[in-house]
Amino acid sequence: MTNLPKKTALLALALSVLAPAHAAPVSIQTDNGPLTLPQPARRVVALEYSYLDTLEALGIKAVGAAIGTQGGDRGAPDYLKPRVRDVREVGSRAQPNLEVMLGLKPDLILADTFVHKALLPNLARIAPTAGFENRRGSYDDVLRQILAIGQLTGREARARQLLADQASLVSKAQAFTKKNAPGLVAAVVTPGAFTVHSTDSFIGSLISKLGRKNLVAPKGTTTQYELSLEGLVALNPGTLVLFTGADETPLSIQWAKNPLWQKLSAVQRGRVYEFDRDLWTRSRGPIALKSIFAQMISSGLLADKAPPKAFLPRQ
Amino acid sequence: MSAGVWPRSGRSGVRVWALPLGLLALLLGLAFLALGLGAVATPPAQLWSALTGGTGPDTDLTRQLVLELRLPRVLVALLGGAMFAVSGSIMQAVVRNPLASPDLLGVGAGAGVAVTALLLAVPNAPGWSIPWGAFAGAWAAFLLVLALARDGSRLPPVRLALLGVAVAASLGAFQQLLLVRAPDGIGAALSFLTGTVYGADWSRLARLWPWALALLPVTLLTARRLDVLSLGEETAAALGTRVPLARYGTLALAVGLAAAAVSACGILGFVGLLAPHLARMLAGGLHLRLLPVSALIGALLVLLADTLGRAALPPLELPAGVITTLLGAPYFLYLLRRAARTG
Repeated sequence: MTNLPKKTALLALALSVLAPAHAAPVSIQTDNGPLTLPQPARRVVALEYSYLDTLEALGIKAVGAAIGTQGGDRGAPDYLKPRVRDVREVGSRAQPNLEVMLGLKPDLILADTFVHKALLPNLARIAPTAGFENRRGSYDDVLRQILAIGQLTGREARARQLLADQASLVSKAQAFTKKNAPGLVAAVVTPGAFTVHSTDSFIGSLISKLGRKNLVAPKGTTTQYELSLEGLVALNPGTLVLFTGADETPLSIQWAKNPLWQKLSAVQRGRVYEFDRDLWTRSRGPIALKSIFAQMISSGLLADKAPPKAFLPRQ
Repeated sequence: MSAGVWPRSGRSGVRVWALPLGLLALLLGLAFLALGLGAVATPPAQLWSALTGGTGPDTDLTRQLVLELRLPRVLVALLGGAMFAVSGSIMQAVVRNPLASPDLLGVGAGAGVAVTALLLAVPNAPGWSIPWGAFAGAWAAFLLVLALARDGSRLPPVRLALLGVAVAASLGAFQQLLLVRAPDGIGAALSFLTGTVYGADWSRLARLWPWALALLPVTLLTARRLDVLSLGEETAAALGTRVPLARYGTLALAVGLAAAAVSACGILGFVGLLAPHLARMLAGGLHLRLLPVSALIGALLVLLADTLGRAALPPLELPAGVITTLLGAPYFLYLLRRAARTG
């Protein structure tokens, strides 16, 4: 009852944003404070792959994106590559080139409050900048960002449709999940590091949402952190999910030769899965999520079934 | 004749000025080039029109590129380089050690740790407080190195360099430890400490210029004292200098210059070592001449490094500190070898 005025207010607000889709000012709350654009943005620079994926899903071509492969960055994920051929590269995510951005004359820059913290004032001088907690954000955070980006670009209706798609994907996937399956650990494995993704990380929170228990809790505000083989043995997960790059030799191949590894419950049960880290943890957008949901089901991860050949860990 | 110095410098008054003026001209030329170079092409005609108040969309973009992005960055590079160089020149004179320089004596690392600790304790510390924090940390590290390295009243060169590097390494490890325990984001905010002028803007410049403006002219006033100090403690005392006062006063200047530079552009490796040596080769050992030449060379080095870093592989940007370290490290090894051989 007391909710009613609030609801109608929200509805009115939603309608007022929806109705004049063009030329009306847009105001939203970002993780870096409120942001008002005089009109929906047309020329957007995306400094995370997640934003690039989201913009594509909204039907907007970014004018520039941090898809550089230099300086230790891996560039656009494979599934995005054909879509971003015309997008101007503005350097790496860690050190985007301010000049190139300025030269593109963007009317919106999408940045990450963690990665670009020190850079936000510089970016704001180039164009209105929306900072979101994306790299360290959860699945729900990313959903909120999809809506915000939709509002900023005058595509709110489309964004809401994307959220509805996500909701139905989640409920469909949940039906596959085996209740009371043992706890799991999900980690990005590079040649040098084994980084676990906690219940507050993007992929870790999604796995929890779908009903599998993630054994890794965040450490303070840090949602993903490195673990040693010993630390992994201490957690002794019944399921182990590895995210790797096809062009890299993950550390886990070396660990697998260690007797401790063989003692892991997940190894003994044959429940070690390997997925593409570019798709699963670096993309974080609606297009990537469709493939992620499909692989979650087809790999047997949700149902706690042994992985088919395509998702078996490399030896 | 004993007055041999006088006729020569009298005859070649032009020559006295030729070197600093030549360097200055080179510096201005490079600065103009640096303003025109970048990932976005800005032809000279457009650059000129932008700087002289032309209008039009292209000119406006050029003006924004030059005034908002390139100019503050060029100025930070110039001041940072000059400050490291002068700091190194003073240290080499006072410590009487060719291997002395801010980064090798732990001053840079001490400033880095202090800035890290300051930002951890007070996440929203105002910009002006950062150089002061760096100053305190730099002094603490510097005194530690001096205390450890001294052998009676002597400061053996190689021992000083080794202890400086060791203290800098342990401070670096301590900084890593602080960062591991720090909340997310502080580390990203401090990435510039590795020595880069990437993203340097007017607010970064504001941390730097008051220190440069206050300290660089004062160093010229101490030039004669530095000449005397570089003759050795006994000679200096015999010439009527109050050695401890002069020593710590000038060192305070050197540490202040280095700390402020670190707080704005991080530790630009080896600039404080390389620039004074080049300056001494070109200008001789008298500090009234050595200090300005050293400052100009330091500024030139860093600006050159950053311009190369920006223009080499756009849109990738190589940190200036990496390039100066690549240049300086071999020279340092050469000096170390030579110093070890001569004792």
